[in-house]
Amino acid sequence: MRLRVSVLMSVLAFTIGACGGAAPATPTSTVAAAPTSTALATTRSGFPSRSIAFIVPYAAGGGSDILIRSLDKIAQDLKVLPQSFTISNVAGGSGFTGKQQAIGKAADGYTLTIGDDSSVFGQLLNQAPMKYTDFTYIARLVSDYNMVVVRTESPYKTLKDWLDGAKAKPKGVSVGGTGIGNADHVQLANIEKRSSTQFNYVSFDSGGQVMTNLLGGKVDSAMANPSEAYEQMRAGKVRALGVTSPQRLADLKDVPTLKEQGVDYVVAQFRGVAGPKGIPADVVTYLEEAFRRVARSEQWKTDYLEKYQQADGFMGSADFTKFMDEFFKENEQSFKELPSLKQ
Amino acid sequence: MGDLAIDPVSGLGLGFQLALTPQNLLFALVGCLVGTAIGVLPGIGPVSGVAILLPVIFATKLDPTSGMIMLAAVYYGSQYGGSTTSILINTPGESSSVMTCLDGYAMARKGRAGPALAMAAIASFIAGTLAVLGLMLLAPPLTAFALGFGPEENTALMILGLTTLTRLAGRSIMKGLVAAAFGLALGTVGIDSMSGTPRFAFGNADLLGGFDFAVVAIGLFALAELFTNAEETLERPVIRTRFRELWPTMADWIAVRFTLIRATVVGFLIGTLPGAGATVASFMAYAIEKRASRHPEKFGTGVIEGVAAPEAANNAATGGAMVPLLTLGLPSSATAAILLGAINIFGYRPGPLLAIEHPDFFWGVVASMYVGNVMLLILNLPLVGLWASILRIPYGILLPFIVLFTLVGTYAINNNVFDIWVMLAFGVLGWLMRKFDYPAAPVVLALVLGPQLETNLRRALTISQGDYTTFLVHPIAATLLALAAFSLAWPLVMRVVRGRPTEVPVSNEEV
Repeated sequence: MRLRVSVLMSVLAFTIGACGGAAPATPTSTVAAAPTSTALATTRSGFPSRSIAFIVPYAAGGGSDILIRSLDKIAQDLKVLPQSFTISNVAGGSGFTGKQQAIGKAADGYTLTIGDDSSVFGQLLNQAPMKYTDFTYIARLVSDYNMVVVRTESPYKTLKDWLDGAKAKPKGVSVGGTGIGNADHVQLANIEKRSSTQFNYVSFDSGGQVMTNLLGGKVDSAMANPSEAYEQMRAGKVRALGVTSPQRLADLKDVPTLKEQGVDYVVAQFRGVAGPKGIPADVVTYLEEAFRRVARSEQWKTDYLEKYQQADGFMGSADFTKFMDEFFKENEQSFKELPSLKQ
Repeated sequence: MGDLAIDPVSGLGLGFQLALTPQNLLFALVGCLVGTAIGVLPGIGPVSGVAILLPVIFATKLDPTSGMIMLAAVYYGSQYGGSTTSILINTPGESSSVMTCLDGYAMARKGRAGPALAMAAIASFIAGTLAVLGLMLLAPPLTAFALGFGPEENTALMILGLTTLTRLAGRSIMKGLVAAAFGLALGTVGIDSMSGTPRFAFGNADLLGGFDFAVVAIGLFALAELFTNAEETLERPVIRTRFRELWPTMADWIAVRFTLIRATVVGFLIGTLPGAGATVASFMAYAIEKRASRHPEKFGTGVIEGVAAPEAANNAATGGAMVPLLTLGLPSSATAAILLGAINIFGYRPGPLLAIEHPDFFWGVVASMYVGNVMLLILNLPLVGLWASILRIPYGILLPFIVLFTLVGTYAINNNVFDIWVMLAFGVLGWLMRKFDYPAAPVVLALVLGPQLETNLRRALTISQGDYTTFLVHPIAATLLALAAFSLAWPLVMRVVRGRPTEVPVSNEEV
């Protein structure tokens, strides 16, 4: 017992000492134009003094998992954070099981999870046991676009052919996607509205399954992220008819945007870091700054964005929170208006 | 579809040059060791096994071929170890080893744990090696076969799978069907993947993902067995495993000579299909074996074919799963999806061009799978004696350890404490089911097949816009449905032909 008390005392003394010395360096002061190799000073309250538990609410090896593992690794390589995350994958229940576990923990910054569009869609579909406002949004990291893809042998050569096919025979053209209430489903509904068409949306369990069924000719077309479709396109198995980005993507110069082809619709999926609601402002600022340094680094560009074909979508906490509110309102409207989204 | 740039002979030459370097041999060995350990531990299956190694891969700049050699070895290695706890303590090491419990544990109770363990290892070896051969020689046509399986075909396959329930029903068909209906009902819990609506989750985030098959199986099999034994007496006589009889007898070999071939083919083909995987493969192989057997009534009482069939099938299935992964970059199972992520992390982009642009990667991995299977056999056979001697430990000492392993294993599946409560609840339920003579196997079988049947059926009907004839115009689907109908009708027809209308086919397995 005595030993424990003395250990506690020395830890306390150490913390106080560390805080005293490091206090002036407020994390917000530096917007890292060039990545620094020094760790951020801890906050006044001594955050972080131990490893941050990151609950990835999706399976290992998936998009979110690779994002967080890359973030963790590069944060360590750049020495932005003093300790690695302790990452656990709590998959299942469309990500809500893991998110629920995370928001049940103390809002002290030591438990983080993914903040993404699924939190909004889940609420609008009454799928999620929580609201999107039950999170503190710390930083948005990436955005990802979607493409309309068909097999190379498909008669649809352009987006117009595809839309005309659906006009000629409402519900006659099938579109594979990753599930009702997921981004691609909402996106298709918006495309339908803007082009006065009706497609037959078929939902699958994963992007891999969508692609398998597209290649096997089980569905006429599909919605797929550039990173999912790129290799199939390069092998000449799949053709992209349009992408939801504002401009053509650097990797895929030949793929016209939807907007160019008369469908005025630009949208991105996004992923970032969130935590339980009510994380203290200084801790949020600390984490936001750490993630900003990572996201602005050269290593992030080469080892994450380029390697995994992701688009930078960095936003700080305030912007990300505002963005979530707007994203929610916009989609709430869509869910009211669009017939194929109404339940 | 999925053509390979090089012919198999020169490809394999290239592959073995890579696979036999000291570094890659070491990675294969590490993968085999980790895989075996993952397999032996209850609950933690290949999905978590591969996932556990991902951070290691992230932290180190591993050569892609070496990394994939290691991860693939974990994947197929886990199928070797999975049978161990099934046989010894009625605890499935992972979901694809549930069927091995039925006859494997029965064999152990008869003092034949040794032959059961040895047969599991050898069946795994033979099937694993044949599957690599299939992967190497038949990848392009198999890729086309796998792509031919859409929602219609999968629906028909799941219906065929469900007809095998009648083979697992135990003493009473009625009780078997009640158990199956319960399993189907369990399968409806969670977010409905077609509409996104939560069903029977009662606002509980832990229920949104539904009941994990492995969690339910550990409860119903392992824990229920413990409760039953504890209730009888802790002074249960130690099972004598005679060390002279660790090896399968001549009669055993004769019994399994066709089993191994049948189960390998079934497992391999099912493994290539998206969604089905090693678990369905092991069910199917067991059911087919029982059907083909001259003494189906003995299945469940400790026949060696009942061990060889699922163990060969689940190994062959991992080989099958590598086909779409390596030729198209498309995952057919949860583990394959993680391997796909790993290929990304290595810096390669998985897709149809991977095997063509990086023949060293493809052939290196294929060649290493031959090597790995030999390693696993060498690793596992000497362990047979060690494992079998575990049963000599007095039950009163063994029991708490088994409880501990099931608890830890269950938690490790999803890192979720809730799963432990679920497992305990199913343990109590399984104990009650035994008391009233309800079989457990149909529950888990229905829990695996039910959700897949439902989503595929609804998916197929979405595509056809409600037209049920879609199942008849797809030739593979129609054939599978005809087989299912035949499988149900055959016993009835035989009875009418033989003029013995009253007798219901009875099997007295202990499930």
